[in-house]
Amino acid sequence: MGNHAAANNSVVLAESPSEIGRLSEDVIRHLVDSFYTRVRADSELGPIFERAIPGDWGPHLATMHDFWSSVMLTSGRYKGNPVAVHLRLEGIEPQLFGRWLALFDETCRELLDHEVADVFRAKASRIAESLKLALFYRPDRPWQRSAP
Amino acid sequence: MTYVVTDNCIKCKYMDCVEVCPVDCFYEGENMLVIHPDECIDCGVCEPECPANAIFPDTEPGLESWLKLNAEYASVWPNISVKRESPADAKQFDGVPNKLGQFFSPNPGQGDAMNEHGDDQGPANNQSILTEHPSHGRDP
Repeated sequence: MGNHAAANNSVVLAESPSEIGRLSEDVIRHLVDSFYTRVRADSELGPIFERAIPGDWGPHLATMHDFWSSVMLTSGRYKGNPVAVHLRLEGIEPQLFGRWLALFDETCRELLDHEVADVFRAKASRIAESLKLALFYRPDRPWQRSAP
Repeated sequence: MTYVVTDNCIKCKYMDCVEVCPVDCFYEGENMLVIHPDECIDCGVCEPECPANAIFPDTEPGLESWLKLNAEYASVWPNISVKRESPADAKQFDGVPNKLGQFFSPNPGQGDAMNEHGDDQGPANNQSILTEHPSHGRDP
């Protein structure tokens, strides 16, 4: 299904002088759907996601459309607590964040222009690092050492 | 890592940041906002939204004391996720140096609670009022 739309989106973005300015909700939706299709087929990530989302993937995909729309288009549509959600996940390991990022980046590179894919990667890397720290390490909380 | 709100927010408090934050990690003082470092996910959405250019990643040098201030007051001020009118004199204070020493107030702001009374045009995301926040008394 997705290949046609992917090619079209890529062309639209490539023709734009400001690719990031042309990033649309449709492109984000397509990117998210393509990414999670890969996640589900992935030997490392698939089982964890299938366990967390055993039934209908519609709500999760809608949440992720909103999340990336909020992050990339500042739409403010997503409002949630991703740390709490990830804390509940069974089988989540620090190294899986690397796998997640690699797959996400691969999807972005296939569907988007370099410039846009780079922005997605920068955002995703920072968010992943932040979540990872929140879930596993919390080593550096300099703000807790002493109050000013 | 987290983003932190710094000096130029004081007495400006434009609140554009709270509308775009995906995780509702802003907390409101009487004349400033802060970010809860444990809740911020580093998405960076708020940084360019701030008309006062007061938000920075804590990886920038010299922000340690601001990080501590953000963490300290985020734990006592009420959560805010819906923008209200900024102070009438916000523009006059935009860019004034060293506002912390002169104007900073440790008192809590009103947070989202007042918006439930429909006192202004707070757009969109009213569901974010769901965000639980302790209703602290007047003083921290």
